[in-house]
Amino acid sequence: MTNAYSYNWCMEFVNCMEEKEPIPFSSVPKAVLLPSSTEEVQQIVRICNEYNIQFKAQSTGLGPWNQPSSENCVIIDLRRMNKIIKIDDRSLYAVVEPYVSGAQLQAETMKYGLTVHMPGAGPQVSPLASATSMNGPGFTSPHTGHSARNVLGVEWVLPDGEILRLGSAGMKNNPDWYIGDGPGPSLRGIMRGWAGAKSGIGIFTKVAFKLFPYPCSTNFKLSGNSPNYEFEIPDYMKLYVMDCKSYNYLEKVFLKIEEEEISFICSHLSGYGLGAIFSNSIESLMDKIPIAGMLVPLVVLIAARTKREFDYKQKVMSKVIDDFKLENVIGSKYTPNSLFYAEALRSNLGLHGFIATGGFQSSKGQCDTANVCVNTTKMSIPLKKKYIKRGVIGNDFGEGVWITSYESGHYFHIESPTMFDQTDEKSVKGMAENMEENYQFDLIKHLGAPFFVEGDRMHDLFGPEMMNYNKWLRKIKKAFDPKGIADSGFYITAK
Amino acid sequence: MVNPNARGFAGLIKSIMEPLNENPEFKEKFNKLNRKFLINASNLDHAALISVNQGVLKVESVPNKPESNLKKKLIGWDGFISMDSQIFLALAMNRISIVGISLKWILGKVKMRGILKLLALLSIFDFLKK
Amino acid sequence: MQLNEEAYQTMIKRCLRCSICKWIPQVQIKSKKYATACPAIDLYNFHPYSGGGKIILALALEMGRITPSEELRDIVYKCTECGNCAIACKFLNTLEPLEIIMRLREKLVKAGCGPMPKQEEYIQSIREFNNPYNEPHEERADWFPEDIKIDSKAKVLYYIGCTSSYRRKEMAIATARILNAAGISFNILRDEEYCCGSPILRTGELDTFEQVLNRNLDVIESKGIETIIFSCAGCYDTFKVDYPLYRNYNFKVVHAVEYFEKLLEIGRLKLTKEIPIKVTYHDPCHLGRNAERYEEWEGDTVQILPLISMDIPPKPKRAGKNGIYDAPRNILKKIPGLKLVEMERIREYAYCCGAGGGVKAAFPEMALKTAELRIEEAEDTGAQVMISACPFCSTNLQDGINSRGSHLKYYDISELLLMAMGLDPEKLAQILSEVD
Repeated sequence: MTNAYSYNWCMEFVNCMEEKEPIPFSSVPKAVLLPSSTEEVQQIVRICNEYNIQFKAQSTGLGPWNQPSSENCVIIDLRRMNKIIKIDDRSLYAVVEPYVSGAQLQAETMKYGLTVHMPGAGPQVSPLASATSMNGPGFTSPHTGHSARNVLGVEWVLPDGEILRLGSAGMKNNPDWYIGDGPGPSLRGIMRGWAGAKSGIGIFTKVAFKLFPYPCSTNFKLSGNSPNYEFEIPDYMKLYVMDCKSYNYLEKVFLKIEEEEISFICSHLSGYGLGAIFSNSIESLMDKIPIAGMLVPLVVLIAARTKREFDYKQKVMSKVIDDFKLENVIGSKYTPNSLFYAEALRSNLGLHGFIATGGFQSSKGQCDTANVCVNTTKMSIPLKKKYIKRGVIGNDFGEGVWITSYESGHYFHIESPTMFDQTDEKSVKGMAENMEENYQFDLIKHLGAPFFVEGDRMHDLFGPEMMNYNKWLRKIKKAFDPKGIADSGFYITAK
Repeated sequence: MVNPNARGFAGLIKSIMEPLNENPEFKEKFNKLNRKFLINASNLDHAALISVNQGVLKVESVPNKPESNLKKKLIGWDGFISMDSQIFLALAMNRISIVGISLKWILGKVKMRGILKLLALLSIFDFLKK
Repeated sequence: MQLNEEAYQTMIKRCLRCSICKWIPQVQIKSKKYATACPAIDLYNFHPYSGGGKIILALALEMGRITPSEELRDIVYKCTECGNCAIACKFLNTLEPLEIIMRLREKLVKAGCGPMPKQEEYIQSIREFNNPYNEPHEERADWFPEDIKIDSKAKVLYYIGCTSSYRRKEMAIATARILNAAGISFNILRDEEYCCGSPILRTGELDTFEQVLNRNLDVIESKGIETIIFSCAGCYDTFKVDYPLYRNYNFKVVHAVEYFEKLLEIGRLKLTKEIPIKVTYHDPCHLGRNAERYEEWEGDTVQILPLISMDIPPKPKRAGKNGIYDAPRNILKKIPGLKLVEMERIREYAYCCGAGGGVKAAFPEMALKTAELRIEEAEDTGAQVMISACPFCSTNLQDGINSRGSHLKYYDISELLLMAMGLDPEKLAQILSEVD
């Protein structure tokens, strides 16, 4: 039982980076517990404190950051805490427990004409986990923002077992969930910062986050059979795929489109990535050659609820295309299967990254201006090519990135999905080296504030370059978790 | 020697190129072309023999080991190109220029015969990008 | 099952732990309540109970991190082998969770750690009595009404199956009466009919399964049968999908719903009586997503680039596309006055009834709880009646209806069809009285 919980995606190269055997298993937890309520979570945490046993909380559990970093650890699997507490369709927020998936929540909010932000990891993961404890970029970010910015009130079981409710959820009289800040210092920054604490600062048992208008008709009809469903594309949706041909030009186009606030999806992917989002197997990638050869593609999906809105958005896009002398290849060179639109609405596009080699992970990531993101892409190409030449990572010509935007182009995020084969030891070791070299590269080249910085070693590496934040983070950890009971393998210890 | 059931790398080329037969523009443009091209991925099995005859494209496979299987007098090709699959990918995805290919040719990483005849093949590849 | 050892060893290293296997295809999720796919993890909650969790256990076993044990056996056998995890996984991935689970069971059996004790009992019953119910073989067909016309020389065989023979006779009688009404000349095997072997196969006990398979095929082939009609989805799936992996045969296999649909189309059956009820249809796993033959593939797996391999031509993906979903629905739509309302989880992503994979015998509480979940889903459609096309689903779902105190009635599609054919009330009453 506990062995099954010690396995995760990417553990092979994480182990490699820690000079351990490159296997997909972490330390085996002492036990796995499944609480059904906040009170039970609290009891478990108190017992852990009493017996000096660490805990690692997980909900849907995808990724190595769900793994215990030592054997003196129990896993608290929050699967039984799976209620939607509230959907407020007037004030546009939902309150959920940890094991409500993005797709489940979206299915319910659609009944109100609303949608929810889902991270790039897919609709099967927990939006609570993304909002409280992980990064949180998403394909629909131009419309639904970033998890860090969407989190409102929170119920938080601290590492010492005390329960803290942030913002209006903590009010003595008429508590509600709407506000995550309070008259006192806002703890959201401490709780998750940009990248989350991955269970290193306690357990989140309820979260409120923003909802957004569903971008088009909520009529979501599929026919046929898996995996090649046909989807009745809602009226007023249109896809644009344009080759910006250079990164400098991409930056200009990106900023312009986002400034206009019309997109539901607006992402740059590499040519390979572009082919992948329209394919459901490596074989089906082959007929994407007409578009996969694009040098610097930009994918824009607009959606509207009325014809008037749609006409407006189309006019804006037409003007952008004319002004920037671009060409939309959709409908001329390529027409995607209708299922693409369903997956776009359901935020299922990120999982397509696995179809080539069976494994991928982002070797770097930043949240910063468009300029920094684009420069990061350009500058990282030779580094990635080095590993491609060695045959240890998949060949995307070094261009494999995902850039998407937030808050009308106010900021962007870039991450560099890198294909590797988790069953090939050479590839795993190569991927680990690639990750390490990228960290160093980001530091040396000052490539913005990274968001894949996890664990003592990384925080101590980046801290001196960023106002010694690592010292402050340690103080926070010490204040909240003096006994070091919350597993800090992917956070920071109070050493 | 020539296998109508295109295997390996040739099977891949077949899946990419034979759909061109459904394009009436392709048929019209290459109606008068009668050529055979042998393309070989040196790191993979089964070279692809692409025949274009009166606007109809067919792909068959030729075992590429030993290399002597690929000789012109055996297969009757008009143009021949051989390179690593990575370079093919770069070519297909516009990640290598004519200059780049020429350099690789000089370095012996790309082999070409019947270069003038191969120009027709390049036009066919361009059709794939439409 | 098609997974060879090499493919198994590769696949068990490729689980991403994405948990997609716990859900129906993401794009099919219509509500929070009916989003899940896997009864095992729905009931037991720990990750190892999921399809992906079992793949991880398979890897841990191969790596020597765990050894065969009762705990492992409990987890691996608490699974109805419904295949829903495989459908979800194969939306984008190429793993075969169901086949891995079946292979894992085989390995446990070989290690002396499987099947479960109650499954051993029914396997022994099959060896002794040719059925898993410990019932006398001689009584297998002695209840068959004498007024149903049988033709011992017919090339069409109606294979009744153990569950219909001993537990759901009303289904067999209904099927046989429909065939008579359509003027179809058919035979039954009577005491030459033996268990199809499905209950054995699902536990991983392959040696006994192969013996059962060979005996069945010997009998059927000796009679020159050209077509076999099944009213049991489990028998149908086993003959159609699993038997050809061991031994080829020359006869056609059809499920009764396919046959009835054809008979309706060509006018051999007339539906004259109005049945003004609202029904919902439950897709049996063994008639739907799992009833898809393995297709021969002659191609190459080519490593076109470092780390990237491709199947040329693409390997057919068994994702439930060729299951039987439309035939029963077409039948129901033809019944005058009947209204069909669909549950949320249907077709290749239908939720399991809970009985399969040896669970009904080994873990009756799991089977019952799963049935109750499915009954609740049926109730939520507003239907008055639940319909399906498998006696094993019938047994377990009816147990669920009773245990839940549900208002739903349950009929097999053959019973409903018979009613709509206007069978005289005396004969209908006979059906009911012929049931134990």
